Amino acid sequence: MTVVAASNSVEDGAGPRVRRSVVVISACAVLVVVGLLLSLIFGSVTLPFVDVWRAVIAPSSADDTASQIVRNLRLPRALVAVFVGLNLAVAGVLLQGVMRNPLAAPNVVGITAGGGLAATIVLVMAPGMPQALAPAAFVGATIAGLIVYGISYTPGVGTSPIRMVLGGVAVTAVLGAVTTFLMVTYSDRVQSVVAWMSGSLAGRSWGHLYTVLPYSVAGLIGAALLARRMDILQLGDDSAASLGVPVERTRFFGLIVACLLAGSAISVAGLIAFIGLVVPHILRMLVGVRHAMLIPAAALGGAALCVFADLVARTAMAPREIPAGVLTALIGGPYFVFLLYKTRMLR
Amino acid sequence: MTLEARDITAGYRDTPVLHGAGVKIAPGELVGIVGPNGSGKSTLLRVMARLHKPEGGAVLLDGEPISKLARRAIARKLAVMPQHQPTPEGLTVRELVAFGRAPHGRDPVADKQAIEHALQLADMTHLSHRRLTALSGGERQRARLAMALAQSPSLLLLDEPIAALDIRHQLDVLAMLASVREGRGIGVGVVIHDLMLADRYCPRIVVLEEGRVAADGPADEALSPGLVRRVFGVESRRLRDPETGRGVLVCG
Repeated sequence: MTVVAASNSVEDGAGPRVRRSVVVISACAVLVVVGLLLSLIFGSVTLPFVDVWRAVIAPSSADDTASQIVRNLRLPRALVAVFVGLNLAVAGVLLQGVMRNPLAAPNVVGITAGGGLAATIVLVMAPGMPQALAPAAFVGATIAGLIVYGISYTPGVGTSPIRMVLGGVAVTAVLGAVTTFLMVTYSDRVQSVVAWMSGSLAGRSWGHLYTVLPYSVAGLIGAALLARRMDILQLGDDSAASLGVPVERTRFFGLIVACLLAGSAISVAGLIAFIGLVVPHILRMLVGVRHAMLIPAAALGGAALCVFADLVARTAMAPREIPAGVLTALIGGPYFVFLLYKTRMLR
Repeated sequence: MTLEARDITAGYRDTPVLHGAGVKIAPGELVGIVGPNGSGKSTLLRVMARLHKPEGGAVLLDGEPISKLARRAIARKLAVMPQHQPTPEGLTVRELVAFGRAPHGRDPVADKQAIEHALQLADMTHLSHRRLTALSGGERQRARLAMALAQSPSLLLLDEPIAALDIRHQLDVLAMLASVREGRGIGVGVVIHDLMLADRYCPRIVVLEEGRVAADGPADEALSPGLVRRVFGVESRRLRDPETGRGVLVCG
């Protein structure tokens, strides 16, 4: 399906746009690699590039402290950042695509709040079970996503994007209230919740990477399968249906894949805000509305943003760490307001 | 291909709209669907386009119920121009029209030919590389008409395609429908608000009144002064255009 979309745009005389998309995607890929390298070099001790290179290329021959730091601490953490950013950005592309709403993002439609509540429950009620955190956050995110879908669905009429966003606001409010209630009730255990909720990648290891990776792969495959249909969905529900697209099925499938992606990201990194909103928008401006180009571009752009956010988070005020989620929220919040201001349909 | 809606009842939640309405569109026919606000014109069109599920009755495409056909199979035969659809930002006219090929299998040569031809019919070839957002309302409607034509349909349904256009673009779009019908033998069903334009361009008129068909026939018979008075609550008469010798409906 993605191949069809790409080749169509060539026939459409949109050749320059395809070339530009390829350039943008390549640039994002370079940014990810550079971000990864810088993440391996900088930290509490700055390692020489040669040592980093040796640790990555020939792990068996390197047994010194430098390669220990790279291989056991910095590399897994940076890779977790890559896939968390990728998941959140692609989830944002999917949500904005299937809901045809520029403001849709994991934290807008309740997915983030669902993951947050589920994780809080685990953290305060079963603090001895850290391994339950990831699956719980994923399940919570998906349930919240389905509830919002249920709210916005009218039998015989379908799903309305505006109802979905408003439903997301309501569900987020309720879930947030329960989360706050739990935090107040279990105030002695609140420290771990606060650390997790602020969205930090501190201490993330290979185990976290293996938790998120399968979801990233499955999510990217799902997104690729949906790319062409999401292109057509931008023409409106009725137009898409008249062109043979099963509108509700596409929307439901897109929502589920977005929950997979965002839920798994939340489960390993907590609440990292706004990557799912900001990254798809910036890249849509650069590569256009075709999902065959937008999905890979946003995936790499999200990965790059998250890696750099984490790099700044752990080096800017060293030895103290700012949670990466704080940085992304500081960038994303004002951008969200800018979008609200710009968006014609809600003015 | 013949499209027939038979004895349709349909509505939205607690609001019933259609009570046993039906219409049949044969190949090469141009059928205007008119009626006062809330009479069920758009709902009937949406039911026929399989965009709205009826509670009773059946829609048949060459005798086969469309509820049993695959969505894409319908889309290869039946093109629809719905009302009030968003204009995606960043798309060019040509890219929009290319979406009309989505229901068909991939065949670059046939696709290109269908796209070129559709652009030509809608008189959009010279604007094909413009962005949709940079077009006027009339040009945008013509672009959407071109997309529907690129589907290479046997039937075309349009929901108030001229509602928000100025008179020149209204006439343009209606003239295009007439030529598509004649040139390609496509059956066309079009919901129109303007009685006088419907009378002028549609050889056959279906008048809906409170969810039922009040009249169905040649324009001058269906839109009789008595019926127009009863259904629309206005006086009307038919004059003869001294230039063309054709009957012209005048309301009010």
